[in-house]
Amino acid sequence: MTIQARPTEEMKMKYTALPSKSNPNPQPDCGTIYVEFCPEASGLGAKQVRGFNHTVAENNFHTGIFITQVPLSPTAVRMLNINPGHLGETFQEQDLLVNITRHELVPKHVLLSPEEKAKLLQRYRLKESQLPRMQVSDPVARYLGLRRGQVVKIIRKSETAGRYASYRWVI
Amino acid sequence: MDTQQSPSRSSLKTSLPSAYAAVNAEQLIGSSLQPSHDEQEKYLSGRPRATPQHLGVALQHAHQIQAQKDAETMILDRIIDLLSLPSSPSADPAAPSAADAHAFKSALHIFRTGDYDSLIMERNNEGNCGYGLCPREYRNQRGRNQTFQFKWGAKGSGPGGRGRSMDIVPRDKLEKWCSDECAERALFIRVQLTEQPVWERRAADEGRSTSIELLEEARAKRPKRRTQGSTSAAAVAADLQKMNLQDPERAHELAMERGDTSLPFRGGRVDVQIKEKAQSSTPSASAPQWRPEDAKGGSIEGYVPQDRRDNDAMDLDQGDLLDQI
Repeated sequence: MTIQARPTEEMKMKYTALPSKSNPNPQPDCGTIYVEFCPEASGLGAKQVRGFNHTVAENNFHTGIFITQVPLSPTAVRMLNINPGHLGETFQEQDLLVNITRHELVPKHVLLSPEEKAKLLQRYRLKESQLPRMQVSDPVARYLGLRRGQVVKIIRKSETAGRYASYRWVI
Repeated sequence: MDTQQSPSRSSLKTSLPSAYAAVNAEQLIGSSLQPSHDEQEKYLSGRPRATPQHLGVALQHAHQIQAQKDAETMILDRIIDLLSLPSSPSADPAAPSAADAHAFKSALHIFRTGDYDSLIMERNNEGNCGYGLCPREYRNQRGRNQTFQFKWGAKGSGPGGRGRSMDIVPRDKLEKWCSDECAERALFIRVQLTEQPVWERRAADEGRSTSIELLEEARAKRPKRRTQGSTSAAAVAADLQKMNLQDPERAHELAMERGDTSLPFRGGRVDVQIKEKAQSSTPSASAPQWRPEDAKGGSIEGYVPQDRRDNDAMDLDQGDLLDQI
């Protein structure tokens, strides 16, 4: 089974870098997402991933998401990550049975656009490296497809303050 | 050196030109890698206190990281290539065709043991025996629900040379191969691989790691090896000759060992110059002479113990009194 999804205008805005001197008119760094469910229940290796990478490259999808029933071999995962010019993500079907962001202990994560990020850093007079951090391999970061260098706003309930916002720099 | 390496170079099955650089550090020192004048200007303009040397160091590290990435990509390509070996389905793993054996060995010399393990894993995923030159399927053991199996050795392999040795082996370890012979062949190759990644290897190591032997080749050679291994005095003298530091070739090798392979540091990042210390005068030692303060044993690192000091003071006072009188 395969699915394709195109980004909304809002998402495109969030993924457009700030204009700079060398790049005065930046293009959004997101595009069509291609999702493939792998039917094979055993013997899943680099060959299947290479086929998947080929499909992604041929149709010029921006991101490919490969969903498998069994865990991928380390070689296959590495291969998925080095597809030049395209992003690759992989999930196991088992991990997708439950939506982890709906769990009561998981706070709301909101991705900041480059403008919002710049404003935040200016407001608190920070460098981005001074923010608290979060790994790309974090389950919520994987769920949201976060990339290295982005900043998320985390809104939690607080007994004393009602709502409390904190920020994480994705590394 | 170049003539020796040319066959292995031509056998690389990759479309990445920069991947060659990872294997051949010589290739890193290409004229195309030198920064152009514009690039230098651009780098230096944004950084007030930077010098061209900083740019050189930055570029050197960038090239190292790039070479590392390319090497990893190449290893992945090689794993995929090796999945399709052997070329004919009726090949005999004990006597592989020369072309297959060469392709297998030349591909393996950049592998680490971890990469080799993932090659075995990928081959098993395809349903093949883990040994790269074996066309058969891996064996399916009886008793699917057992996780461990007994493995009996040959007769007389037990303790004290009686009976049979016994091992308890996880089933998935046995199921990697088609037979015990193939397991032996594959593991024989595994022990020859180094743990050092290819981008850290020196040119001197390169010759050693390319010479991977198949089990059959090693067995054919074995009687010969025993007769060798005698070290004559001449050989030792020749080895000692090689220890000379000033030799430019050796200095270059030393630079390679440190990872200083880029052009700005052709002779090495550290400029080693050995000079004799010039001595202005010939040293002359004179015999120790008796000094008056040594009569009481002298001071201990500048400290004169109490009792000795008192005696000294009394002596002095008496002397003074005598003078006065």
